[in-house]
Amino acid sequence: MFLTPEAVLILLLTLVVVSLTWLHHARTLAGHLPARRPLPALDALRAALAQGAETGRALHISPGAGLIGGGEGTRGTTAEMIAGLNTAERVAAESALNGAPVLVSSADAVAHLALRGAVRQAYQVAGQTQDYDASRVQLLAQSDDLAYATGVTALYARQPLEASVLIGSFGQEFLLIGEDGAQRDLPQVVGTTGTVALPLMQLTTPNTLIGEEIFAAESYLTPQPSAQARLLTQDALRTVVIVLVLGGFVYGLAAPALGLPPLPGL
Amino acid sequence: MSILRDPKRLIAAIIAGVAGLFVLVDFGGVTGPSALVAELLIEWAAVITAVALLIGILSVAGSHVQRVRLRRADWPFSLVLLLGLISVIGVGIFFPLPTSTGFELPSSLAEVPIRSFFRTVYEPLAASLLALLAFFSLSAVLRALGRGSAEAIVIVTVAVVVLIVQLPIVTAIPGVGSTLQWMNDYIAVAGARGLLIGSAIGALVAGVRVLLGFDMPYIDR
Repeated sequence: MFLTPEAVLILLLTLVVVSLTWLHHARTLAGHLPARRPLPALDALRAALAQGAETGRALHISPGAGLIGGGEGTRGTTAEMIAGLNTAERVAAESALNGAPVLVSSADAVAHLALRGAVRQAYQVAGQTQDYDASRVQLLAQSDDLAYATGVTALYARQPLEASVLIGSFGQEFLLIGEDGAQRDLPQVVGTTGTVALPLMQLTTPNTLIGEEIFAAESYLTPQPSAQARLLTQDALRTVVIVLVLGGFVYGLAAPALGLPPLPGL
Repeated sequence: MSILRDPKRLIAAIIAGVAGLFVLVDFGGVTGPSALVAELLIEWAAVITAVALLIGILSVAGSHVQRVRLRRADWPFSLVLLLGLISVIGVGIFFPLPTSTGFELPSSLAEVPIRSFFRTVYEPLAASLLALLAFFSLSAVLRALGRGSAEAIVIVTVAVVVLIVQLPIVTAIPGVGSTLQWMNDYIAVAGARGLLIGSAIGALVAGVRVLLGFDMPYIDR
């Protein structure tokens, strides 16, 4: 086996992130929980969960129209979808515990199967297996964002919903869903990392998670310490990146005066 | 329960972690047996996706057959969906295509009859939906302004300014074009890169946590 310099770099970087993840996992299990800044969007979600239990209206959950395994050349990214799946799993768990019904939709067959497993599991763990209804986890389209958006608006039209959680992989099709929900006065909690959908989300609803906040959402929805470790690792890596950017900036300023070579790639 | 004390989760995490590591290292252009293993894993993933799609089709069809059978609200739409599903699959498999020697059946669902079906039926529908986005944008802007959200006001102001300064008559004013270009190259790109770096870190941590078995969205416990 021949390892290219890129492969060695990937392995080293992975090793660093793996070490940080283990370290922070151990720290949180030992009780060193991170201080969290407030995310008002998730307060709206908690309120909807509580109201759903009282009104009996379903909470719609969607990880978006992206694909699991979608990489370069496809719109959705696997990481966004995993963030959406983790959030969906957590919301389903909370719903199962407090008795609020859920309605889950997706636009990818693999994500659909993962969601079915996650929702069924959430009801099993909550001891409410009899309340699990497989028909409430729906595949509305396959790798077609516009078809998916029209499917979600049909769900909005067909039954009264308590709120809609749209966190994951979204693009311009979000406007079709978000605007329809806003016209129905449906509370929506939304989030993505894409620069196309984010301004549309901000216009449509005040409950918007921006960028990396979608990866932190699960940690805010669960009291489990292991989920909080994610925040510590993200913060540590963000600090490293900020230091590197500032260091590169200062080096770039000082290099010509000190006769130092330019940074590679600049 | 710790993953080390749960054999089912541990085995799943080891399989997912090792498979993920092979594919990850393959991105670095590695050669040899590792590249072959990564290629094999990606082929398996494609097969699993195809099976998942089949299950998804059965799920969709089952759900809509049930709706039609029980005459639930809007059941005629379900009937249209089922007819569309059957006709597309039927045409894609059994539509005879003329050849120099006679007729032959389509070799895949990407052949002419399906392509024609999509071009004549689906693409106009998709284009109509995209056209609606302009009106939906306007409606969203008006609602956001009515709400008085600071973020929305900034978004709308920037959008209006960018639209105005791109008019030929405005771009002709000295300094406007270069200022716009500078804002685009430095302020907009800096913001987009900041968002991208934050998201990439979140994605990296999410990926590593899946490989290590801390998050297992794939497991059926």
